[in-house]
Amino acid sequence: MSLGSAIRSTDYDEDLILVERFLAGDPEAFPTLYARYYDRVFSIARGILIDADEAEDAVQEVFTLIYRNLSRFDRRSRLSTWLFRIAVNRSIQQSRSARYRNRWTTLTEADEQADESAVPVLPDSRITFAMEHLGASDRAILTLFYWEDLSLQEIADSLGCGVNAAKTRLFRARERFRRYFEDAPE
Amino acid sequence: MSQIPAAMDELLWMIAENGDDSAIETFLKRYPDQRIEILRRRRMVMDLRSAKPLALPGGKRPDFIPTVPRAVAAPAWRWPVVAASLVVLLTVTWAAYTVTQRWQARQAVAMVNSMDNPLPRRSIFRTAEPPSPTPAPVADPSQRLTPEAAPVVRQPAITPVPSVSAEQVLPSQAPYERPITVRLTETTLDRALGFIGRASGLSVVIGPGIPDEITEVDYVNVRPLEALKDMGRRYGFTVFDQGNGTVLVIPAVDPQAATAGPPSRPSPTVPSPAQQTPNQGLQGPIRSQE
Repeated sequence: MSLGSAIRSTDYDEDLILVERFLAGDPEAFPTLYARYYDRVFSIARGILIDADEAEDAVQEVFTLIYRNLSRFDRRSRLSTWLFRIAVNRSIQQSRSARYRNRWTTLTEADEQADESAVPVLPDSRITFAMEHLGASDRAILTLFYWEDLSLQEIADSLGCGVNAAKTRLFRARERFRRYFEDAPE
Repeated sequence: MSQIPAAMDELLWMIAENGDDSAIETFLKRYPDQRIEILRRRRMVMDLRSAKPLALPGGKRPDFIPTVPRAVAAPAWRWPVVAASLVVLLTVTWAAYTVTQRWQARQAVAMVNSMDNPLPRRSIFRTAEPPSPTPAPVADPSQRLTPEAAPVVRQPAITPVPSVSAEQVLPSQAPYERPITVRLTETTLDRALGFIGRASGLSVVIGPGIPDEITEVDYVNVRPLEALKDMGRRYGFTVFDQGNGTVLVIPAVDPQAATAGPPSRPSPTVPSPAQQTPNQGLQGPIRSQE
């Protein structure tokens, strides 16, 4: 526990140093931040959007937003929390727009997409099945908890809600996921 | 699942997510009936965690290229279009102002013409045969009426068409308030007052005691009441405007009060009964009206 806190404290300081360097005009600071958080942001976007291409687009959008608005980071929370919050919101927003787009795809496009989706987008088909049947908010909280190993406090900070609300939302999302997971074809 | 108590359900998830095998064994020793449940949850958690995508399918992280939104330059033709629009707007405004001013000036000229000449050449008035004004019996042949003395603005036989009538130009102006032009030479005061009354449409009531002297009247474009008041100052009588087109002319007692307001106000020219002596003040019909 104490070791983890020490690591987090170091990360926090390094993030802040990178932010200050970026704001001071250091051109190497932001690529460092990008490399440092790309995998985690991509993981969150992929868990929410499922589709890899959509997730990659969302990650680019997220880092573009951060690049433009890093001066607005108020330093009251960890940079990672602020970054994950942007990633979750942007991915949920893109998930809704993607769902709207898919509603109006033509039959030919739908056939092409069906051929592409023959390969499971996640390693486990049952996981894919369950995740696809969940809402974007449920996928977001499961992603943050099981893939990013965030605590309930960190999840609450990333989702912009209280700890108890995060706990309740996690419980409900997990129950829904389990129902689809156990009903999924092997 | 739904039969499991909430505390047990939370404990099951905690052990399944912890992943400690010894903790599972300890739990199963205490709750052997939860074996299937804990194993199913354990498997679900493990599968879910193992499904975390680590990287893109190609395993290569794309480079980040910041896309700063560039400001869209204004089109080159913007300022000429704005300037042309302003010019057009100013031109239209000036034209509208000029046309309005000319129209108002034309209306004013038409109004003056209608006052000076009730029957203009191009008048669309439909008139009956205008009655020739009955000339007052001229006692003295030397008395003559100049041509300007005939601007009788109101002729009873004239039926005005509402479109260009003077009443429409000045709707709030009563007919007897319109300026008139009167020129009389070597006439009596009674006749002069009567002529002004006929010319203006006023009903002039002459009280007793008005001197019947030879006078001369020359008013050009003057309101009838003003002309009467001026005559009152000159010949010593007071004009009372009764307010309904009737004017009362009585001899002035107070020479400073040659003009008077409406009869509702106490007139300084009329002495109070206490101040009146038998040989002073008004006599005749006027006194009886008090």
